Amino acid sequence: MVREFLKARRYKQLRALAEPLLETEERPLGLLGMARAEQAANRMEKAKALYQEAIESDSSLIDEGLEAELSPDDSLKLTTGGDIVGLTPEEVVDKRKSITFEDIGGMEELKEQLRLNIIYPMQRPEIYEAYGKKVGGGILLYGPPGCGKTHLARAVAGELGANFFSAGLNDILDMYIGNSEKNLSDLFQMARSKAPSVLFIDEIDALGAKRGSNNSSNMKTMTTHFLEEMDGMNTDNDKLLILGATNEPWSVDSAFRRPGRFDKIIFVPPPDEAARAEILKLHAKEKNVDPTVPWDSLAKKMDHFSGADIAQVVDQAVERAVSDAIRTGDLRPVNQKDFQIALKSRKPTTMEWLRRSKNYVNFANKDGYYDDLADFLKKAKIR
Amino acid sequence: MSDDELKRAEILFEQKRYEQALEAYQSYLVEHPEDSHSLCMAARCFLHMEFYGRASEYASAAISVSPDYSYAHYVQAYIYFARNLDEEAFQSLDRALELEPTNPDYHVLRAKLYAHQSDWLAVKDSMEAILEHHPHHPEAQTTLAGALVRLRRNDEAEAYLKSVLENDSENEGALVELGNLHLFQSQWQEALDIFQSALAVNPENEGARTGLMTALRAKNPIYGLVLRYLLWLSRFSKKNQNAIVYGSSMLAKLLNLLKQQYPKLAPVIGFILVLWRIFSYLTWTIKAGTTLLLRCNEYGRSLVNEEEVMESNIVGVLWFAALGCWLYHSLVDPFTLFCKIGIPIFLSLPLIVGGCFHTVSYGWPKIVARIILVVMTVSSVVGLFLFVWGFPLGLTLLKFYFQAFPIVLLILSLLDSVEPEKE
Repeated sequence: MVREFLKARRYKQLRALAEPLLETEERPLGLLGMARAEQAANRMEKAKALYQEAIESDSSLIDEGLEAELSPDDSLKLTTGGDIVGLTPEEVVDKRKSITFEDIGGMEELKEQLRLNIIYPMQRPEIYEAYGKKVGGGILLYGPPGCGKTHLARAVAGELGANFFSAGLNDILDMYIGNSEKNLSDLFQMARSKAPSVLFIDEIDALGAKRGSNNSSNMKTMTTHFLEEMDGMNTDNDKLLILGATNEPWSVDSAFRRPGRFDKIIFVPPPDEAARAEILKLHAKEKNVDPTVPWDSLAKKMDHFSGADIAQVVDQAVERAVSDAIRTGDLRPVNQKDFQIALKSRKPTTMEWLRRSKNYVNFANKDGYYDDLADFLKKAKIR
Repeated sequence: MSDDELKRAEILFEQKRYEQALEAYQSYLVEHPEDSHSLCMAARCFLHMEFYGRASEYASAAISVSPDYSYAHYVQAYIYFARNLDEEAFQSLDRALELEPTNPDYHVLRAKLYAHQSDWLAVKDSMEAILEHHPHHPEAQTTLAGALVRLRRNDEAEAYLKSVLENDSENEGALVELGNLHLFQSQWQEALDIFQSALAVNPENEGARTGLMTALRAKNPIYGLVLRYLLWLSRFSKKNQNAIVYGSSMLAKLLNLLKQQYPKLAPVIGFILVLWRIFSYLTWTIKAGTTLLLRCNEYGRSLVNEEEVMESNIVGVLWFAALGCWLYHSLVDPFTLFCKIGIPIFLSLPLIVGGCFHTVSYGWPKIVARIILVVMTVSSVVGLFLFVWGFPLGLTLLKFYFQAFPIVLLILSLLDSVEPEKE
C-alpha cells in the first residue's frame, strides 16, 4: 500500500500508512514513506534524516525525485547556525540545470514583459545606459500562489546564462531564528561573487512585511539589513539581479519599492491555455497515460487553474486509475475519462486570490502598481 | 530544535501565515503536549482559519493543562465571542480577569461583548478606564470611538477620533468610525471621503466597503430618507427595534379601523396609510434597488459583493416583470388575468427577497430564509401560470402564497435578529 501511495504521489496520507511499518521488517520502506510525508509538509531536515536512514538500510529504495526535492542542485540552503551548507558556489555552477523561456509553454505576453524589463537591460546595458536608464536593481513578481513564479525566475536566469540562487520562506525563517544577519550577507556575497547571477527570494513579504507596530524588533532589523544589502551600501550589486516573489504584494513594505530596490513589479497570471497544456503534459510524463488524451481540449476547460491545481487534477486522475488497478488487477493507462472526472471535482484555487486582489486594484492603485493585474481582471471579467 | 520550531511558529503567526503556524505549533506540541501557550496559539490559528470547534478544543485543552493560566481563559472567551456564545464568553472572561485583572486586552474583549449587546454606555465606561492606563491601546481607542459614535456624542466622538488620527493617520478602525459618525449626522459626502481613505489604507476592510456603499446609496434622496430612519432605529437594541416595527404595524391596523369608523377622516388616514405602506416597502427593498443603480457605473460595480449582486438581480427581474405586466395591463388589455395577478405577486416578492438577504450570511437562518424564498417564489410564480392555464392547483398555490405572506415576513424579520452559534 505504501508503494502504491508513493507511486500515486499521495504523500500527505503516507504518514499513517508508513508509521506502522517502522516496527516491522519493512522499516526501510516505512522510513521512505515518512520521509516523503515530511518533505510534503516542508520539514526538509526531518525528511533528509529519514531518507538517509532508509537508503542506508536498503539502497534499492533510492528515490531520485525525493533527492532532488531535498537537495535541489540549483538552489542554496541556509542553516540556522549561520553557515551556508550544501553546495559550494562552484558546484552550483557545475550542476545547474538551466531552463529557458523555451521550456515554458505559452505565456508569451509575460515572457516579452520579462525580456523588456530584465533580459535586454542585462544583455545590452550599454543601450539602456546611453538613454540614461539604470540597469540592475530588483524586480518583484507577484500573482496567485502556484502559478510558476519560481519557475519563471529560474528561466530568467537561464536566459541570461546567469547563476541562480534562491531562498524560500524556510530560509528566511531560519535567518530570523538564527538571528543571523550574517546568513543574509553571505547569500548576497555568494551571489555577487558568482556574478552575473540572479538572486531569487520567494515569499519576500516574509522578509519585508509592512513594518507595523506588531512586527518584532528581530524582524525589523532583518528587513533593514536586507534593504542595505539590496542598496549595495558596502558593495557593488552590478550584474546581480534580485528577483522577489510574493502572493501578497500589498503586504510588502513600501520601502522595498523605492527606486533601485523593487521598483518594477510584474504580475504573473495563472497559466494561459498553451501553458496549461504544457503543464498537463509535464505532470503526466512517466505516468502510464493513454497517448490519445487530448491535452489541448482539457487545457481549454481549465481557465484560471494554477500550475498546482493542474498537478492536482493529474494526481486525481492517476489515483482513479490506481484504485481501478487495485480493484481489478488490470494496469490500464490513465485515460481521458479519468481526467474529465478529476477536472469536474476541482475548481481553480486562484479565484479567491483574484477576487481579493480586485479590492487592491480598485482602492489602492493610485501609483499604478497593479495596472497589469487590473488589465488581467478586466479581460478575465473577474468580479 | 524544538525551541526553533516554536520560534518558527511564532514568526509565522506574526506574519499571519496561520496554516503554516498551526503546523509548526502542532509539531512542537508532539514533543510538548502540555505546553499551554502553544495550545492557545494553535487555538488562535484555528480561530483565524474559522475552524471554531477545533479552536475551542485546543483552548479547553490549554485550560485543563493550566487552569490558572489567564491567557487560556481569554483565548477561550475570544473563541466563544467569535461563535456568538456571549454568555459563555463572559464566564471565561470573568475567570481570565480574576487571574489577571489589569490586562487591557481582556477588558477590550469585555467591551466588545457589551458592544455586541448594544450596551454602548458600558463599552464607553470600560474603555475610558483602560485608556487611562494605556492611552495608546489601538483597539481600546477604536472601541471607545465606536461607543461614542453610537451614543450620539458627536462632538466628543469627532474630537477623540481626530486626536487618534493625528497620531496615526492610517488607523483604519478610527477612519471607519469617523465615516460612521458622518453617516449618523447625514453628512453623506464627508462619510464617503473618509470611507475611501479607509479603503486606501486597507482595501479589504469590510466596514469601510459597506460604509462607502451606504454613503453612495444615501446620495439617492429616497434612500437617504430610509437611511435616516434605519440609523434612528439602530439606536435601539435588536429587541426594541423589532418592537418598534411591530408597533408601527399595529398602529397602521388601528388607523385602518379608524378609517372605517370615521369616513370623514378616510382621505387623510388613507393618505397616511399609503405613505406608511410605501415607506415600509422601501425599507425592505430600497437596498436592492440602489444596488441596481450603483451597478450602472464602474466604481459602484467594484464595491458590490456577490450576495448583493444576486439580491439586486432577483429584485430587478421581479420589478421588471411587474412593470411589464402593468404596461400590458394599461396599454394593451386591461382584462388579462396574468397581469392582474402578476402585478401584486411581482411587487410583493421583492419584500421576501429583501428579508431573505438581510439575515446573517451563515448557519441555519440563512438556510431557512433561502428555503422560504424558494417556496414562496415557486408557489406564486408556478401558481400564477397554472391558474392562468386553468389548473385548479394554481389557485391553491396562489391562496397559499397570499395567506402565508404576512407570516413569512414576520418570520424573516425575526430571523434577521438571530445570530446562531458558529460551528
